[in-house]
Amino acid sequence: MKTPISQVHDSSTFMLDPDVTLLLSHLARELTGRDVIRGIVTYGDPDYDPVIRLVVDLSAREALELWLKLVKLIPYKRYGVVIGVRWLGKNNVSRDELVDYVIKIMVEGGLRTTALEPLDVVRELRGERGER
Amino acid sequence: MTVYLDTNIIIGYCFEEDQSRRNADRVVRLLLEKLCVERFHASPLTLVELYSYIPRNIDKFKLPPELKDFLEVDEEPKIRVRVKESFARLPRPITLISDTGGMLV
Repeated sequence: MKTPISQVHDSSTFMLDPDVTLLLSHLARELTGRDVIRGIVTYGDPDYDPVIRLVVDLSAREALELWLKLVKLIPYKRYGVVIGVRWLGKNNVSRDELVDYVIKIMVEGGLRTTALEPLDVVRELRGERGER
Repeated sequence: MTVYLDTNIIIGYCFEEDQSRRNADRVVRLLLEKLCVERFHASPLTLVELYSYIPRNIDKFKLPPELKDFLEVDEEPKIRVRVKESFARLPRPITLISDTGGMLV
């Protein structure tokens, strides 16, 4: 028997078209060849807007590969939706591999680090190099 | 053609909130369009400066939701992500060259 998909929706901060979660479920099934989604959580982030987290019945490596494929198909830079993936299977990636996956997911999905206040690297490096 | 990129340009190009972003963007665009640069070079000093600048400003940066959870345990991965992100965002590959001319990465 299939495990039902649980959906948690933080409606106090954010509303998302249900078609988007359906599309993601469909894509995850297409990309992995089976029903792997065990939960969907949606919420809003003040700096990045809508976030959809898929909870999948996969190992860490499989889940991260799925995540990478999903952000290539639905990049944040184009659709403005942040996709997250969490896994229920074994943690079979090293810390270094995880960092590499984070970079790839950010770059492929067009997700950037944001600065919470203005930066002035030129001034800082000048000071460090002893330049005026 | 390959061109050495200064740390100012790398950080300025990669972080939209940096005041030198517009200038860095213009420099990189000119290098691509006018000089047809295919690869960038950086030196070990670039890495030293990145690893010096980013930790000092670590509290000013926010990682995207869902991804930051994996990096909150300690500082080092957060710093490494931002350094790697800086290189990965450049529109051409970047190679680290040692002072003696050998390739490091």
